[in-house]
Amino acid sequence: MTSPKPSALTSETALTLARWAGLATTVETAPELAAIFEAFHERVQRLYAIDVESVEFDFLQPMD
Amino acid sequence: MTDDELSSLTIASAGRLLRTRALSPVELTEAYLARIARLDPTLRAFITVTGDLAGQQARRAERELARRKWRGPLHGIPLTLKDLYCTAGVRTTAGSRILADFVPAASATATERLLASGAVLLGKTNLHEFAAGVTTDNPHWGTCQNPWKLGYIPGGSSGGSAAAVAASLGLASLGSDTGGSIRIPAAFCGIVGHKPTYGLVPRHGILPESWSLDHGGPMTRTAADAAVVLQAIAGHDPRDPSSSRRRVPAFARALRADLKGVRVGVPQNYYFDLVEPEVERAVRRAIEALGALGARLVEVRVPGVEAALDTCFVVAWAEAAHYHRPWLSTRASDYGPDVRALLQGALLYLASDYLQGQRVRALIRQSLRGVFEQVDVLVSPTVPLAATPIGQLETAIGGRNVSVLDVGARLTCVANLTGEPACSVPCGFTRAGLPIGLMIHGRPFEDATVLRVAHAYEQANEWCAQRPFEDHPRQ
Repeated sequence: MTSPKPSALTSETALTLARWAGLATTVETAPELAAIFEAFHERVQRLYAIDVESVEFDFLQPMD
Repeated sequence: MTDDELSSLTIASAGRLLRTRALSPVELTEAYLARIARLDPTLRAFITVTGDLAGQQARRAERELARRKWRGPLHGIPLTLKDLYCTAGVRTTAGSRILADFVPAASATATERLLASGAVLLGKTNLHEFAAGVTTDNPHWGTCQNPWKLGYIPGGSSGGSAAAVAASLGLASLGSDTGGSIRIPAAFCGIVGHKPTYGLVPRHGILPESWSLDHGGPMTRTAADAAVVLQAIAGHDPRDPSSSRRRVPAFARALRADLKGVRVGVPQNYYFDLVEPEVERAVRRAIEALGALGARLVEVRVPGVEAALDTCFVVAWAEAAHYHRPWLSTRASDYGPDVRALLQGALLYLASDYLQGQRVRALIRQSLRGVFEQVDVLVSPTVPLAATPIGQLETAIGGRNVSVLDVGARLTCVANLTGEPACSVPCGFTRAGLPIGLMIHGRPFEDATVLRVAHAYEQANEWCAQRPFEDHPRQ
């Protein structure tokens, strides 16, 4: 993870998301959380750009 | 026993002396405990030193060896465990405040197997909190230092284990590896670190970070020592549902073969795209050396591997966040700030995000399967750079800013996604005197081939014989 950049996500939205996820948060930590949430969102969006139609859900396939 | 004598030992050499009773397990253990007492206040490689227990185990080994009851190559060998491995009656903190007082009633399978083989436990080593990072800058148990250069990280998350082996505070350690946590600190500390095939080493009693990516494995001075430790801990355990039922091969025997005919894959994409020039030069020289030893060098491409880091990140942190969810809602302030932030961020991942990660992972597995139809092993830098200064979260490679966490796991995480074995072996030093690692990555359950290549390489050079606190050759 790179250092969180200033987030487009507002602190209020971050607090709502955090509470929704069951996180104990405060107004003081909201800007930091907003930046973290956004960085995580960006990362997973890069994965959605990959075409996975050719593979099934096989991660529990035994190694041997 | 002098410091020079202690520093020159390997499991193989110490084992010969112990078996012939030229060396006493008690004398050896006491020498290590004295060295730990002297060096660890600076290095902070340990969370708990088990001096009394080690003394008891060493005396028992001495009595048994006197009666010619030899348990095997680890009998009387002093070693350490990452403080993520449960040890009955000895606290197991996971490097956290949350588990600061956790004393397991039972040991991990790997712990049991090591102790049953006669090993002596010197202590539990420091790690990145909950194995969730690569610096071992631990806010609860102290910042672990790189023995090659104080003020630099040892890597992580098994940083204490690597620092302890490198600084001769034990002959071996067990680490765990979710995105590179055995191999990254092995590379940064100039030792051998082997991440076995998924399912080869039971994980029962190793506190989890990510169930589908976690692996336990050896950290040692040499590949031959790694083979000995792996032999002791590998094999089916019904208490671990992911544990393989395959017969465990004789790893040490496999090391005797040379490299003639071994096809070594040299990746033409991704693996050398973002690498410090000094690291690239050392690794390319190591690859040439493998060719000189008889291996056939084959250029290969690994399609789709560019997504490995994002995939590993999403899968690992989603699984970790699930495990930590109860504590995140009740004890969030007990986490260090970096680990708390990552876990909180991952708690917002959707089920769909996680499954997308798992499906990209399947693509990467398919890609590697194709590569291993062309070659026997794939070689690359273990980490694209050498150890960084403590406290530095970002660095620049080729003018590009990268986070230490991301660049640390960039190459190692591939083998976690695929479950294939991968080993880091020392292959040189930077001008600043920091070690560089060569990674050897192989087919599932061909750990013996990976260790054989590592062993052949280290036999042909002196990198594994170098020790910190002494002069060592520069590139």
